[in-house]
Amino acid sequence: MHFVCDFTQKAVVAVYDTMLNLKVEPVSHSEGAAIPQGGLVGMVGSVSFAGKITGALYMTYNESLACKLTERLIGAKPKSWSEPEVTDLIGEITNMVSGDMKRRTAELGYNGLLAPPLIMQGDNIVVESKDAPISADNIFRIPELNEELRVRVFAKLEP
Amino acid sequence: MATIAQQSRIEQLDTFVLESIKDLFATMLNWTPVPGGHSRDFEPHPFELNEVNGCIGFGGAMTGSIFLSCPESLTMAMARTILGHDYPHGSRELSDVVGELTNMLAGGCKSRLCDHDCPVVMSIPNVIRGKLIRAASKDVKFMLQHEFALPIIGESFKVITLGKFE
Repeated sequence: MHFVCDFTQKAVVAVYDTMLNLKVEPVSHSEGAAIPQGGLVGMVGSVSFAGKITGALYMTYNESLACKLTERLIGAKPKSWSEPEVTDLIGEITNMVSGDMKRRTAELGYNGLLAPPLIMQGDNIVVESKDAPISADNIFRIPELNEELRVRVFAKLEP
Repeated sequence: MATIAQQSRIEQLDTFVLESIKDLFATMLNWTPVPGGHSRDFEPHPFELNEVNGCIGFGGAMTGSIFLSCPESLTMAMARTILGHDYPHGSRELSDVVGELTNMLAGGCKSRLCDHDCPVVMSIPNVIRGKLIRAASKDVKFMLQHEFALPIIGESFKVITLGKFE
């Protein structure tokens, strides 16, 4: 596993533990050409980063997971994932995971700057990154919520 | 609410985006985009994307993202013009063309920003495809949305830039 992919997994586990007191377990991991074809389904939080490490990270949530996470953080269940507190949380989680991953790569000399998080929703969102030699797709299980989370990362390391 | 200095920076970036689009389309496609709708309040709000979108992030004195947002039919016309062949709906080459054009567009903006005391770095391009894509960004202070017509081929596209100056 490329270290960028390893750090991404570690970042997801760490942020969910720290921010939400939730254990998440990596269930599947694929890199490069082995990444499953097909779109990202649900609400997608994304952060781009630029510098010695450049690329983007995408985290995908279904409505049930997005609402459960919001309820866990603010103590009240949102009516739907359209509520601003849901999109704010998804953006913040994505920002923190990207930041954690970036901190780990910076320790190896690959620092980068993060762009503000973006939240997207649509039909069958497909993300491609031709210039990214490093790419990974991860599925995590959150046992306490009985939900799954997909995280995809594209990256390039500058010499 | 932006300070006067930040407002000036935003207006300057707005000009850089327009100049970069004009240069890009003239150089790569020999097309002249005609500016259409253009919000002047620069306030961030949720926005809609077309079917094929190049996206690049910026970091540094300005952090944010720029989107070159195109209908698929336009990407097919772009690929035909640049690569000299027709490519089918959904093909990888269409994404590659949009990604590369977005890279050049962002590069034009970056170059102008750096020349004006606003050092930034840019990410590699990602291409985001889909239908009915709605997007929003947390933690941004401005949004520039430009729509353009291409009368020569009967198409249109938009460029969305959002972010904040540090």
